[in-house]
Amino acid sequence: METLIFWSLSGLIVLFALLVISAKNPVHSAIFLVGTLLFMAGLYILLDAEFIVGVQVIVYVGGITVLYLFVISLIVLKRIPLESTLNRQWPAAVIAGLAVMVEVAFFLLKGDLFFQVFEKKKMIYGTGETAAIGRALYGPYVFPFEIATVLLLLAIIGAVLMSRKPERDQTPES
Amino acid sequence: MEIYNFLAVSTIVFTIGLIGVLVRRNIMIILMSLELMLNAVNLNLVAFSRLWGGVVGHVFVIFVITVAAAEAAVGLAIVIAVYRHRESINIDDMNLLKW
Repeated sequence: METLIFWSLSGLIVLFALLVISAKNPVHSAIFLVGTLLFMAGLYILLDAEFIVGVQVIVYVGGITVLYLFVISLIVLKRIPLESTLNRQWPAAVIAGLAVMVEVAFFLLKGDLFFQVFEKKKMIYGTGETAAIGRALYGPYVFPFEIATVLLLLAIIGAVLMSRKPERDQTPES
Repeated sequence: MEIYNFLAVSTIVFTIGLIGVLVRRNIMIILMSLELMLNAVNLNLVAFSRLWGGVVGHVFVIFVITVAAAEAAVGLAIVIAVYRHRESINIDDMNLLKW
């Protein structure tokens, strides 16, 4: 049962991710991105990470993708030429991406030879309780946590500064 | 489930995101492909966290999601600023820094 759920979820994830990068309309892309993130949350449920599931659904699906849709609706889509959505160098780009995938897969399968990180053992269940995450966040990881708050503040200020309307030139023509 | 299944899905999604970044011309879809790559990394972190039985991976996933939110906010602000000046979100038109 778990295997069936896993394979159907991963198939849907890969399908929707391919649709994200191949859709012509950015709105369709954003909708497919929502689907990908939701199915990814399903995989997190399989991995016993309930808190991460909540954060994923609330922050990613409810926050970030809605931000994307908001910006897409701010931009007038009519003027974007739709004749060619791909770069000139797309065959080379696809080959380079597949080369990276082969590299990563090689190191995942043969990583024991180089790093000795894997043991052939089953995964441990019930490690992602929310209380343990909270204890870790406010215990040994409290300094990165504070840095994250500063980062978010900087992002807010930066976004406001960047998207402000440019002020008209006040210099009188002489 | 073995961890290799999750790592395989993560690798495939990361590759799709990378190809999307390299191939598309619409900057909105490039940013969405970046989100795909960050999600692949998150899946890796959660899977390894369960392999080793700790909670560190979950903490790092929370930080990655924080960085993704900040990146989306600043990146979309840059997109709006560029659109105001150039009337375009095609990445080929953003060539001011090109020599």
